[in-house]
Amino acid sequence: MATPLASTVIFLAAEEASGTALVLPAQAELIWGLVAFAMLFAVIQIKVWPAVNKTLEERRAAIQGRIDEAEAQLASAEQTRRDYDASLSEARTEANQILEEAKAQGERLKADIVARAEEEAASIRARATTEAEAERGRALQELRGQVASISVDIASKIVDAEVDQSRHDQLVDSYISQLSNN
Amino acid sequence: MAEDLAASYGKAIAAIGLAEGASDRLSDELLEFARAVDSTPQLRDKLTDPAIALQARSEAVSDLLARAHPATAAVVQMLLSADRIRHIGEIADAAVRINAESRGASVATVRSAKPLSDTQRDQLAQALAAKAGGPVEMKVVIDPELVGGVVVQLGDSIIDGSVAKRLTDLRASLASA
Repeated sequence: MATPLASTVIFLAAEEASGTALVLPAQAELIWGLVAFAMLFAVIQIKVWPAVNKTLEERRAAIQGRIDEAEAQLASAEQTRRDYDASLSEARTEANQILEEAKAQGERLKADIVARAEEEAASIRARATTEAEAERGRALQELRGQVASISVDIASKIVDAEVDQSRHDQLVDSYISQLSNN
Repeated sequence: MAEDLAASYGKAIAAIGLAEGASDRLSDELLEFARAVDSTPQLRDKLTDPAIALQARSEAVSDLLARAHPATAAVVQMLLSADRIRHIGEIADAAVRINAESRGASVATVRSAKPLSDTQRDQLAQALAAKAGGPVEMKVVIDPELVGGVVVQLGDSIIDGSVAKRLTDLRASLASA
């Protein structure tokens, strides 16, 4: 940086013979000015500039940290969203599965109820048939009994009238004969 | 009724008959009366009904046995007083059996629909003696319910040759056909 400035000073000094000497300060003042400027520049370069740089660096680091933090939060939020989506998807899948199972169970239950109802109906039908058969058998047996009873009552009356002392004697003789032979 | 109780009464009645010199008549009349009681529900109900005064039942027995041996009437009155009339059949059987056994014979109770002739009695007694393997005393009871023929009880066996039995068999056969 000192080099272009020095060129300018030299150029101005060279131009002194012309009109510029009226505008420019005296050479000694110019030198002192240059020295003071150089000293100020050196102080700024050595003391101020690093401090400013440090502050700027710290600020940059702080900003970068916040950016990183924001990015991390964003990533975390993104991850959370993905997790939520995954959970939602899983929940939907599970819900669908539960629904399917419930449907299947409902179908099974329905089939069971229908099967049981059919079985019970068949049992009732069979029982009714058996009872009807038994009732028919009982009625038939009762009828037979009544017919037999009536027939034998009639036969008894006829036999009663037919069995006189003579017939009775024949029966007794036959009985004694069988008893003697056995 | 316990069998030994019937036997005890039977022994007592046989002893009374022996003491009175009317063993056969007593046992015959008792057996006949017992069959009449057993086969006539109205008579049995009347004699065993506690609602009817004992005096009235006793008078009825006296009327029924007016022509019987006094010992027979006394025995029946005793059974009535002891409330054993409902078991008179078993007691009469026991008395008859004990009587016969005292003479070394078995007892055959013959129920006949109509009276038997003397010849039939002899032939039946012979046939039963052959079957029992020893002397048999027959007690004949007339039972019109049999319609015709006879039923003999010899010991534990019953030989039924009655028309009533044939009709019963016919009824059963028709009912099960």
